[in-house]
Amino acid sequence: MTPKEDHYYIEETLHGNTHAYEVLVDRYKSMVFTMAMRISKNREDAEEIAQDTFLKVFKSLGSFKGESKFSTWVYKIAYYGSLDYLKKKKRIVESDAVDVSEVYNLSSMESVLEDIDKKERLVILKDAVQKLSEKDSTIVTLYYFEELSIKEIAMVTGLTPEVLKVRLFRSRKQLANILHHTLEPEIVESYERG
Amino acid sequence: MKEDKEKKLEAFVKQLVKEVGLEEPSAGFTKNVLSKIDEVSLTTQTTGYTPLISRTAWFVVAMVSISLLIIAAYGNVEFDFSLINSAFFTKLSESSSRVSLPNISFSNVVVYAALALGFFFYVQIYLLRKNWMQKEVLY
Repeated sequence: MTPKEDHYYIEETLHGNTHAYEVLVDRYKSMVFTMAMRISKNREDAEEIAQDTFLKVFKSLGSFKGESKFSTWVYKIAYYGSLDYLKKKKRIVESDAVDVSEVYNLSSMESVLEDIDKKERLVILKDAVQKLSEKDSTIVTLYYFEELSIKEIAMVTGLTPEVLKVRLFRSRKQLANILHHTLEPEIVESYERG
Repeated sequence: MKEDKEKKLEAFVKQLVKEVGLEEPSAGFTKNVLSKIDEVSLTTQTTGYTPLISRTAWFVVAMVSISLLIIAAYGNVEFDFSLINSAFFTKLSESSSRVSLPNISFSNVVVYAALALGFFFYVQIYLLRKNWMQKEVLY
């Protein structure tokens, strides 16, 4: 049995069937929670933001016109909800110190990463993504994991496609630099061995 | 050479982000959301929307208007008010014919400008409404 389209569950929810909404929550909770995590950098806060997001989505479901994909609409609410939460907590949203110099060596980094135990590697990679700025780590996840188009991410974030391309370009370099600094001892060691 | 390096970096980052994957919320997440929704629906039920004029009131208003119309069209009703009688209206129309309103004429440019102003006014209403609706969705 193929899973039914979002549209079906939206209609059912609007007709008062809350079980249908359960399906929608289950479908998008991981992405919404991840976005909230990337922006708030805190599990408890992210949980609250994600719950609020689904509450807002439920309340305004009737105004969803279907002009965009349902997921894009949900992500937009999650994105703005998360930024709003940060503003309320008076935490600085943007970290301006951006390091885009190229200190990394991709091939040596790749070989070192291959040698590291899978669990440990995941911790290192997760940490690197979280070290990006709130907006950048979200954009990177939407683009590379969720594989949304630049146009769709522009709809979610309200940023122009040009700005998004610059941010993605910068984030790639930053990620490589962060990883280079984390893996530096191992890279030096591998050079010495080599 | 530089392009090749960019492509390699892009592939590396893509693989990295895929491996990191998504974060999972707590096990009771969906249950918590649904219980919050139930709370909201309960409060909206108690303080729910009640129309200013109820259905029965509308029905009565409709019936009264229809019957008045029918009486006016087919009934043989004579009005004889001491204050407003037919003589009053004849007088009024006679006096109004003597009063001449000033004859104002507008040039074409003024007319077109007024029409354009009206048109853009409605366009603005449409755009503002759309903008507010978008904001409503988000907050």
